[in-house]
Amino acid sequence: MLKSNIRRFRFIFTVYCALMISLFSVMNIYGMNYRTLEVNFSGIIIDLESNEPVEGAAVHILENDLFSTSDKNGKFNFSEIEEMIYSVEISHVAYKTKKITIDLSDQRDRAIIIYLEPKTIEISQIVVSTEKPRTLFEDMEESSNVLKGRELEKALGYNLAATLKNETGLAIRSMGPAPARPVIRGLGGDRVVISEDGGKTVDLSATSADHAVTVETFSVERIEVLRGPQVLLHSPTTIGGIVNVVRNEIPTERQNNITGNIGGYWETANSGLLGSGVVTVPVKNFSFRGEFSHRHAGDISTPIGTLKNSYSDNLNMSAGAGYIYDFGVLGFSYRNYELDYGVPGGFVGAHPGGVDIEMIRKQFNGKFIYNFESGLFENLEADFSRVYYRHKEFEASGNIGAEFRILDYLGRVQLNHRQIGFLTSGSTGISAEYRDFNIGGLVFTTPAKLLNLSAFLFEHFTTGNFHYEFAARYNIDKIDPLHKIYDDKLGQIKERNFSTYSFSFSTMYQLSEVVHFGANISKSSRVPTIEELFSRGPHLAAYSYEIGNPNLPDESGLGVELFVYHKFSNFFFNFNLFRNDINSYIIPRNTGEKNYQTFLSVYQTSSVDAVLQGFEGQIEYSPYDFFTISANISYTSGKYADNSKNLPQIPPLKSTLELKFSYENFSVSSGLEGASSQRKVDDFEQPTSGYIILNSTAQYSFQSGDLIHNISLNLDNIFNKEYRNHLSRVKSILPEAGRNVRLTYKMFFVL
Amino acid sequence: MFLYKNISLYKVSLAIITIILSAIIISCSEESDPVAPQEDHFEAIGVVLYNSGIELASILRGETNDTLHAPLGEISDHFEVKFYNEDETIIDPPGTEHQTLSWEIADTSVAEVWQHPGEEGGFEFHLKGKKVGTTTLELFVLHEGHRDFRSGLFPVKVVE
Repeated sequence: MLKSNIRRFRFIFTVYCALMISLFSVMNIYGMNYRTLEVNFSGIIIDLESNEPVEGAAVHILENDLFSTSDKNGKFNFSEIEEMIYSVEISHVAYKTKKITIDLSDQRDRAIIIYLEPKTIEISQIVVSTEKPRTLFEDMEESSNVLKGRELEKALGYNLAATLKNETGLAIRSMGPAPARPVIRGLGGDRVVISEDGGKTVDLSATSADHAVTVETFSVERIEVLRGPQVLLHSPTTIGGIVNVVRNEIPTERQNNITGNIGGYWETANSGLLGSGVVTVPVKNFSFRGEFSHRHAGDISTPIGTLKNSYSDNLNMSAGAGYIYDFGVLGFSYRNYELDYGVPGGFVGAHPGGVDIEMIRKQFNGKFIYNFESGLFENLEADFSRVYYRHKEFEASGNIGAEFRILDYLGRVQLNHRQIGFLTSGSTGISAEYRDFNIGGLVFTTPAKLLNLSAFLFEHFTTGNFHYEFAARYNIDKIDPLHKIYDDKLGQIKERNFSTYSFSFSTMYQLSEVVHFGANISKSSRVPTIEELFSRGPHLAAYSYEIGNPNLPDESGLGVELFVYHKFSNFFFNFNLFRNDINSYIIPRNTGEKNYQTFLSVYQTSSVDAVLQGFEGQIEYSPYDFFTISANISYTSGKYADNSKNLPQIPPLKSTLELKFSYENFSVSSGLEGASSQRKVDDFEQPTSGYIILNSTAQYSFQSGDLIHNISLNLDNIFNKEYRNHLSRVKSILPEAGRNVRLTYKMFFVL
Repeated sequence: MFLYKNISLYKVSLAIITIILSAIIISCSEESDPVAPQEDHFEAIGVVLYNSGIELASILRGETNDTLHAPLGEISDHFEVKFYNEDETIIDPPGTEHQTLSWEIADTSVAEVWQHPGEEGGFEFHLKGKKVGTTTLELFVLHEGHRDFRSGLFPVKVVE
């Protein structure tokens, strides 16, 4: 019985086992088949405007209710999901929600790139991320005065000024293609501060038209034009502005992956070639960043010939490291910038063959950020820079005609606070600069030392529908010339001391969620530069004999601005009216005389009372998702206050109009760029004719694996129109560049 | 908080800091190259040319009514160079060895400047005609490679 039962049990067990094995086998087979029916779906979410990864975006697969969130590098991943066609919704508080359909039914893993468009809606105090605008003022600044991502790649020009040339309110002062500098609302020189990651760029570009800006634009992340109260955090000249280039040279954020980009461009107008690479490597709590670029450009071709001696060669390298911990950041960086370029000659007062310039800037930066976990203060930022700048101007024979050397030390401490009473946010701090300025060659200007000490305050607050920003700055400047002598042209050369103050107050009234009115009133100050005080002698590459004025007072301006700002999902416009009354406006004026030792035109620095006023506006309208029309216009009038005669070097009315078609990752745009004639000129200044030129751009982005590729094709001045920039010192010999084709490629990687 | 967490992190940090400090030291050593000196510039607004105390030609503020003559294939009379200062007073040439006379002839196939061996750069010269024709001569005071002064253009005529 037992044996029978055992046999029966054995049979049943054997059958059971066989069935189970079969079942397992079938399940296994099905299982294997099931896995073959599973695919991986991953991707990277990118900001449509900035090309930066979007962190914290929610990726929702609607069919099976699966969620993933993009990491710091914009990456998300779904593993082993059933192959089929899915609807995916991507949402983020700062971006428009996007729905896409993804076909995973072909048994292949998918990695895609998803572009999110930043929201263009009302935001008052929404803090969407540390990198997004936090206040209405910042939102307006971001909308109208920032170039980044693909827009930056599209606008990319020969240099910083050329890249910004179509921005509202900006013009270019130049002396050939390489030495060019932005001018804001007719104000140039050091009334427009150029900075990198918030730190002042030390070079001599503000002092003379032949001196280039030592900033390479291809490797930057964004360029922002700052105006209003926030300017006083860095500079006392609030009626001008700041052009800030953002690179994050010292990494301040921890990341999980190696990121970077490599790219380059080729263009026809000057046979220009550029190669560039940027990489950021995280190692535990450290983040290291390296950057390299090399640009070569030959003489530029114009519709009526080649502008001889307009070449340039640039080598740019930097290395930075940041130690990022709970307390904050400790970091430093080193940059080496070298630029050789030609200043064209061949016009009255110029050397026939032009002048060659070699310049180098070596800069060491240190940064410390300490974050307070709680309490009134948010963080403490401290920055230090040591800059060595030198440039030599060579005659055609190879002899040095002029030489300039700067050794500059800059330090800055800023304390940022959280809400205190009615003050929503704000900063206060001190800064210092010590400059040792040496001059050699055929320039008789005395070497000098400069010391600047400043204290500043910036606050933001809101009451009801009113938003306010206020800033103040107090400066002490000491300029100490090496040779305190009596000079027959300048008079007594002596030490100068200045104490000046500036303030700026902005208010914006929120009429509705999308319409805002505002006003700004600013008291600006500026002390004369060493060159304005003590210049005396020929300036080889500027083709001028410069005579300063050791008795110049400080420049003081009162600026008033009214603006209206409208921002809706498909419509944006911004219109500004401004007036700046400037006492002791310091300008070098062509006296009409010649120096008969050198046969150069004599430019005498003088201070006059001046009024600069004008308007600027920009509009962007997207009636359909695929189509956008945008335009801007800028106008400045500059007059001497006492006789209403015209100031020199005032840009003419300028405007742009662009139509843009976009489909998925492809866009094409065409636009007109033009300026009116400028007949309102100073004595001995040449008028300039107006012009309109046609430009066009096509851009395409695609992803392969972890790489994102951006390609831009620009056609500039398509009809090869002859036109001249009123603010160009060489406009009398040759016009601006002729037809130009530029092909730009940039590849972003996240490893 | 500021202490390194482990030895590998310490090594990485040390390596990076060493590299950057090395770069700074190297770059600082390149900064010791002195700036070209400025002192003792010579200032004038014109030139007078003499031969044995007799004025042959002059140029003031770049303007002249005189023409220099050079015989074809031969050396001209001796030109002694003096200058006008800003008060239009005639002054001697600079006396330092760092300031020398230099010149540019627009068409060097027509004429050339000749100086006695051992007196190159001195403020005396001759002209030598190379072919019949006209050209221009501009005189400079060269100082440490810079042109302290330029005269403007003297017409030069080469005759048989």
